[in-house]
Formats: sequence, C-alpha cells, structure tokens
Amino acid sequence: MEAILLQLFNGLSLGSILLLIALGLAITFGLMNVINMAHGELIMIGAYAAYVVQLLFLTYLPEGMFSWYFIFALPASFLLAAFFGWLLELSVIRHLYGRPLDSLLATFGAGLILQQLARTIFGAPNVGVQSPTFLAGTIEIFTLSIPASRLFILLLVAACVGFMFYYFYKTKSGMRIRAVMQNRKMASSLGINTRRVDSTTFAIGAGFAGVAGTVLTLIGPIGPTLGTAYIVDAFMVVVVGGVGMLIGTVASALGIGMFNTIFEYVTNASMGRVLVFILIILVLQWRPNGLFHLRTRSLD
Amino acid sequence: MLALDNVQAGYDESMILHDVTFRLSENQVVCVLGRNGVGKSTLIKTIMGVLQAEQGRIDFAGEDITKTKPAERAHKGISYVPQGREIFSNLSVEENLTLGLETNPNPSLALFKNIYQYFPVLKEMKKRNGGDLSGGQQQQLAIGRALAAEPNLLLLDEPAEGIQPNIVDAIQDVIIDLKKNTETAMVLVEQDIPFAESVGDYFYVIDRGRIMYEGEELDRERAEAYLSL
Ligand SMILES: Nc1ncnc2c1ncn2[C@@H]1O[C@H](COP(=O)(O)OP(=O)(O)OP(=O)(O)O)[C@@H](O)[C@H]1O
Ligand SMILES: [Mg+2]
Repeated sequence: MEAILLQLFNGLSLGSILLLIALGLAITFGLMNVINMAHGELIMIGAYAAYVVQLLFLTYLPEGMFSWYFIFALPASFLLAAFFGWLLELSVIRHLYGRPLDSLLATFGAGLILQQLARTIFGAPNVGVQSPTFLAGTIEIFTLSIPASRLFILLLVAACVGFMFYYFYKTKSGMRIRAVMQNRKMASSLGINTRRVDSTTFAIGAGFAGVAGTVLTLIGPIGPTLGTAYIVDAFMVVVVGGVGMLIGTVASALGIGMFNTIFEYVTNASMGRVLVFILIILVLQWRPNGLFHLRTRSLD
Repeated sequence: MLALDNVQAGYDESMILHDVTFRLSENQVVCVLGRNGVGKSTLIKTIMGVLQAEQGRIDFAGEDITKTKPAERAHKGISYVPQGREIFSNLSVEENLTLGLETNPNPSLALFKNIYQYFPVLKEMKKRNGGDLSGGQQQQLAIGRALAAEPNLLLLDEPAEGIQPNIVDAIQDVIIDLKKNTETAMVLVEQDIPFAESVGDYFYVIDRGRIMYEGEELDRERAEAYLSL
C-alpha cells in the first residue's frame, strides 16, 4: 500500500515538473502557434538567474539569510526570462508569425546563441545551486516520507497554473490575448493593439519557462545545455494535451508523469520510457489534435 | 466626416476597388448596394483598415487615416460589423460585448442594458460561448459588440444576410432606432432594397469595383442595371 502511494506521489511529482516545463510553451506554442525551439534556453536562463541570485546572497548577505535567496530567485528568473523572450519576439519572431518552418529554424538558432552566451559568461561545465535549507529535508505525511523539495514543486506548479487560469480567463488583458489569438483582424478592428498583445503574451510564456529553470536547480546541477534535455518533453506535453488548451496541458503533463512512473515501476527506466512513447503515439492516433481540442461551431 | 478620394484597394495581386470616391457626413446613413462580388465588403474593409488602400486617400473626422491600422481607426470612433459576423467563438457572449467597450471613452456596463434591450437573447445567453449561438444570434452579438463602443461611425456589412425573418426585423428596428435617436452615422451594405430606401439618406451603387451610381434617391431606372432585381 505504502509503496503504491509513494509511486502515485512520484508520478504526480514528475507530472508537476513536466507541467512546469511545458507551461510557458503552452502559451508560446499552444496559444501563439510559434514553434519556439529556444524554449529550453529560456528555461536555462531562469536556472542561471537562480544561480546568480544564490551567489549574490552567498557573497553579500549573512549566512542566516541564505535560504531566502530562493524567494527572490523565482521572480528574478521570471523577469529575466521574460525580458529575453520579449527581445526574441521583438527581434526575430515578430517577423515570422504564420511561418512555422522559418520560426523553427530562427528560434533554434537563437537558442544556440543563448547557449553560447551562457558558456561565455558562466563557463561550459555544469554548476550546482545549493538548495535552500527549508527544502532540504523530508516531510512526513501519514506514513510517507516525502522530499520537501518535491512537495514544494507540486505546490508551486499548482500556484502557477492557478495564476495562469486566473490571468487568461478572469482578467481583461487575458481576455484580450484570447481574442487576438482567435481572430487578429477582428480584435484589431475593436481597437486592441495586437502588437502589444503579442509581445506581452510571448514575454509571459518566456517568464514561466524561467520559473521552471529556477525549479530545476532544486533537482540537479545546471549548465548551458540544460534546456535541450527538456525541449522534447515540453513539446510532447503540449501536443498531447491539445494545442491552445491550458487544461489539456495540465491533463497531459500529469497523465504522462503518472504513466511514466507506473511503467518504470513495473518494468525498468528505459522500458518505461519506451512504453510512454508508445502510449503517446496511441493517444495521438486516437485524437490527432490532442486530448482537449477547441471545438468551434463553424459559421453557418 | 468620412471621405474617400480615388481609393484603390484589393487583395494581393488583384485590385478590386478602382477610383472610389465616397462621402459621408455627420448623422448620415449611407447605403451601399450592388450585386454579389462587386466589392462592397472590400469597400467596408478598406474603410475599417482591415485592408489598406493601395492608392488614394481616406479622411475621417478631419484627419488623414489612410495609413493607420484598424485599431487606431476604432479608437477614432469607427465600429465594424463584418459580413460573417466574426464573433469570438471561444469567448462568452459577455466577453464579446466587453471587448466592444475597448474603444469606448466612457466604458460602463450600463451600456449592456441598452444592448440587452435591443437583443434580449444576448442577456439570456451571456455566459455561453459565442460559438454556441445560432447564426442569427451571432449577428445580434456582432451588432451589440459594435454598439458597445458607442461609435460615431458604424459600418454594417449585410447585417440581415442569411438570417431568419424575425431576427431580420429586430435588426432593422435597431438600425431605425439608431438613426432616429442617436447621432451615429452609418455605412450600410444591404441587399434588401426597400429597407435600404427606408433608412438611407444617400446611396452608392457599385459594380465591378467602381461606383456606377450615387444620389439621395435610388433612381430605379438608372440603378437597376447594376442591381440584380
Ligand atoms: N480575402 C480575399 N482574397 C482574395 N480575393 C478576395 C477576398 N475577398 C474577396 N475577394 C474577391 O474580391 C471581390 C469582391 O469581393 P467582396 O467580398 O468585396 O464582394 P461583395 O460585394 O461584398 O460580395 P457579397 O455580396 O457576396 O458579399 C470578389 O471577386 C472576391 O472573389
Ligand atoms: Mg460582402
């Protein structure tokens, strides 16, 4: 029983990490249809932002304050990645809307440039980020002992998703974004500045990638190519969930996380991964547009 | 209020409108008539800015707006009910109307009361997605959305097209009410000639992208050649 509960938690935990990695992409790719190959590098930027904030705390603040760095790292990584995303949109992507192949190549190139930039500034070898002490231990829930960092990630992801739903579905600027993504010309005819909506939306997506980067520092060391390890997973989650549907991204991330853990438990790590891919292929055979798909009544 | 001078516009390679000169003054209802495919919607899109004029000049409220984007024109007081309605099908009815407030200098939800009075069905369905509405209801929503902006100039592209008769009546009543009780100027593309005659102050008849007839009355003899009567 306990073993099963622990596996369930592990599945949920993996799902939450996948979700966090995919959240930003759910916006830039899912909502805006930009094949953003630099998504992984935006994650990497977020991770280095956490690294820098941590260094600053180590160097300039008393030891007792150290753990607080993480609280500052989260917004810092969001803002820094959002800034790079904003730049990327302004300089490259803006010219390539509606040209998926071109934007794929251009963002891939931009990703390589960002990797090189990181290598130049921080060096090629991986660096470790020391976790804050309050996330180091384990927490006992009933009879399970759960790593505090995993639980924290779960809660943080829930908060991010909650914020995103609130922003997109309850605020005016969220409504404008949805309107522009659905019918650009009509939105413009209603007086919406579509350029501004595009650039803020992309920046927000990039910001979430940055937050994912900070969280990844809790899991392991980081390096300039950190993002390449996650880009495939991120696209997979968004595609399986159904492009354009936040709810689909959530369901897909948690589903993939669960099945991955279950398959690994009953087989082994590499076999589990293979089984997950087979499952994904089957799902996409069954629903080519992903689990959730925007249904629109065609105009009569 | 609105003046087009020698405007040429079209899509990519093919020019549709040729040398169009068009006038509309304050409070006026100008009707645009013509057979299918002659360029009526193209004219409306060019006035809204969804299509950019290739040549010529467009002035609105004393300013040259030829090169401006639709959003800027909307902020100057032009509202648009496109043919095919183009409501946001994944947004709720209420959200669609709220987007109409975007360019209203004094946005207030009280405005919705008027709109719901015109079109009670929108109130009943305000939480539903735009895409769940029938064609006629979507048309009412598109008009409601345009009215939420309290525009100085309302562009209506065949508002009664393909809609059941009782909704057509409701829409025509709204147009008559706007003409009588508000200062809204209108460009109305219409196939229903008797209705156009009843509300129009001035008429343009287009054929193959050119204005073939214009006048304060629709002279049947001269206009008939260009209308499918
Ligand atoms: N998006 C487009 N791209 C290319 N050509 C177009 C486009 N829209 C319309 N056209 C062409 O422009 C011409 C004029 O079309 P327009 O829609 O202005 O006609 P209309 O007078 O509004 O017709 P209707 O009464 O059927 O609405 C037509 O020949 C049409 O095929
Ligand atoms: Mg038309």
